[in-house]
Amino acid sequence: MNRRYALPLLIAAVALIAGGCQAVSLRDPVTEQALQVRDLYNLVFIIAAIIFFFVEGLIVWSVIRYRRKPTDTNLPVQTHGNLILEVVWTVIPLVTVFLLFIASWNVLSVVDARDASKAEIKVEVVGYQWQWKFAYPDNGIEVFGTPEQNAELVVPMGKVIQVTLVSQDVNHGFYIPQFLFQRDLVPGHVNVFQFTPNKVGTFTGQCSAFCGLMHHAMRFTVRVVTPEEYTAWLAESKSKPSPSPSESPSPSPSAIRLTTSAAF
Amino acid sequence: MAATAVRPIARPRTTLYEWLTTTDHKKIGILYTISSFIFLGVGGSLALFVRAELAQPGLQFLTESTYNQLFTMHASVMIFWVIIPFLAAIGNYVVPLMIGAPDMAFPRINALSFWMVPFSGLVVVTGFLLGGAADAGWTAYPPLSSIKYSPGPGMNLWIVAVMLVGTSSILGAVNFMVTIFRMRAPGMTLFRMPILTWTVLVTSVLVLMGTPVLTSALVMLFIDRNFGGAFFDPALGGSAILWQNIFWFYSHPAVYIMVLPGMGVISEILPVFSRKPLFGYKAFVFATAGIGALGFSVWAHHMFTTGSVFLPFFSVMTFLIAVPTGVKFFNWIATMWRGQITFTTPMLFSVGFLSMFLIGGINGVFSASVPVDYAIHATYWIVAHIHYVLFGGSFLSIMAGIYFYFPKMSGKMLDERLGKIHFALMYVGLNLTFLPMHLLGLAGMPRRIADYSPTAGWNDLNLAATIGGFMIGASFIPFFWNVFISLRSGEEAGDDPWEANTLEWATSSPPPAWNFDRLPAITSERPLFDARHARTGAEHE
Repeated sequence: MNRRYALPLLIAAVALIAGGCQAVSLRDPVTEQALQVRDLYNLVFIIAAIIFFFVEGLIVWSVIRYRRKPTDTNLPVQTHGNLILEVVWTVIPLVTVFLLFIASWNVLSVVDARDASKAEIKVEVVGYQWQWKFAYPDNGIEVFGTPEQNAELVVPMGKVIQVTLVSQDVNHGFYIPQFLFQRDLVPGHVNVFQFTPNKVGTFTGQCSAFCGLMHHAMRFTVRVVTPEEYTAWLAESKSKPSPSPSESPSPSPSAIRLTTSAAF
Repeated sequence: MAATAVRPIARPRTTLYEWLTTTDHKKIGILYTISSFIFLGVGGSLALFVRAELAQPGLQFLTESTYNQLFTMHASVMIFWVIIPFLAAIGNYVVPLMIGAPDMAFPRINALSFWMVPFSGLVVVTGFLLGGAADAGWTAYPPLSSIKYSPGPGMNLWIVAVMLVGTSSILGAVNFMVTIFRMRAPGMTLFRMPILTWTVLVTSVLVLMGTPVLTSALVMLFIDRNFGGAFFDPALGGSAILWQNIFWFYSHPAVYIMVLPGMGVISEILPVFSRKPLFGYKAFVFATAGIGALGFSVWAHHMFTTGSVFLPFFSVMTFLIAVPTGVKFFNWIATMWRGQITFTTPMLFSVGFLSMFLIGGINGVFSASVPVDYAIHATYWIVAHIHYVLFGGSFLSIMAGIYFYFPKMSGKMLDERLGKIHFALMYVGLNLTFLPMHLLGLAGMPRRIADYSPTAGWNDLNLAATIGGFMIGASFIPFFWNVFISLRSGEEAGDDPWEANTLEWATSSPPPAWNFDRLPAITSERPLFDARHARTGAEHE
């Protein structure tokens, strides 16, 4: 190949690979927990890619190399099996998935950590067809989403935020792509999770559990601000009455009765 | 009534009457195939409407209400009225022939199982004419599927139809099990059965254990909706999570119900066109049984994000089920290794299955890792996963089976050139449709949404998926043309056009009503191979 083209080609190849890797990664994480999920995903992806190229390579190789030629009149060797080989290709996947399980387990203990004593800010998220309500019980603030104005959850960076998830009607899903996280809102069952935002910005989220007619429009945003801005926001929000929702959720008392018991 | 009365009169029966009343497993197999293709037209059109709507942001063709009906019915029709009956078609046609039996054990029950399929299918699509089909997703999670949030008739029709089609499956499963256990030809021991027969047997066990559980869930939902029950209503002391547990207890094994017989088809085709026996026959049987057994211990991986699941158990079991699947892949590749491969259309679809189902296996392992599942659950990643399993896996194996068995069913060969065009279009189309969905999922696009924000960066990938979807649709044109011209003027197939291994090729094409005039000696899992090369099973065991 002409040397003149080598460098641009190399750059193009690197760009292509980098672009490809960008496309196959999760969104940029914006919480402490999400950083670990991202690393775990990358680990799983690398192992998956190795397995994929290895097995797909074997398939392609067999298909090209072992095509029947006109000279192939005699039967090929009739191999019925090979015990050692079969044990090897059972044990290696077994070990691989077990290691992946351990790695996942370590990350899960971080992502699912729910130590109430560590919670610095407590918010309650209420989902109902087809809007969100974000409440700060300690500050008496409630934010309702409307079709014109998505509900916005304002949280300070670097603090442990504890989210309580309650549904008033059907299942919903609280999903923020850049948190690399979602948790369902199930009627009759309260879910709690914690997160620690580590990046200032506004991040979109939307309902991930199919909830009926306007499911696709059930969006919200999370705005991560500095602690000072957060204090200012609290003061400002308390001084003005919360906007009345266009469609009041007005739950029946039984609909939000909190129970973890199953139906038995 | 004395001497004047009853004397049987030989009435000439029309072909139509013959087909409508048949209890012949081969005709029933063909009826299953026709019914499945009709519902494939329905389910496929629904998918194309969905893809057309999603090609661009904004609602162009459909309302939210219609969209929700379409994706709900697409999944329901494809699962219950296309893939499962397609596999029942292949099983019905081939299994009695493979084991040297004259018919299924219960021919009339067999006819009943079949006729319940188109009937229930009509019931479920009638919803569109009665003010709205089911629209709560094929998973029908309460409370959304309750009478309060889904008041239309579609949901009730859906429940009744799925119960009916489930009953059809249960009857079929019993029939297959009795046939396989009681009607094998002399010499056909269990470990000489073709792998396809094994996979149908394991599938039947899964159906028998899982489907009644689904039926019970449907009965409960029906009572909740129509008779004031509260099994799933948390406001009255029921549990919404209960449904998810019962539903997935059936519906996860249902994925294996939809894949195992396909794996069986592939395991018949690869040895024939590689001119080698299946590598590791017994390991393959145990892997099939292993997948079946593990299949009942992984259901709650669909529920990781609900916060009410014992995560370590379901995570580790979900990881584990990758192992027997991996064993099968290596068996298949080792079967081709050092073989003499010819690329007929059935072989092309089989290799297509290997390369695509591999993706469906690997991208499923991501969800076994609970924290990763938190990030990708309910996004388009999952849509990509299920379609690589059910389209790249089940459906390609079904097409492989149809190309493989068409000469036996009709006595005519299909045109190879048109078959290859079909394969190429479908293979490219399916990757163009479902590969971008991984990226959409990673980018944060939830599934089951009728519309998306134009600024979310999902436009191009969605457009690509839509183009791919229509390519898949177009790929059926050469296929149906091929079937049409081959039935009219195809090359005669003869008994055994592929130099195959198993008993169904030891009789004429199509076989007589009684299947066999005589059977070759059965001393291994490849009786025809032994006969062709004057070997006995003892020489290669």
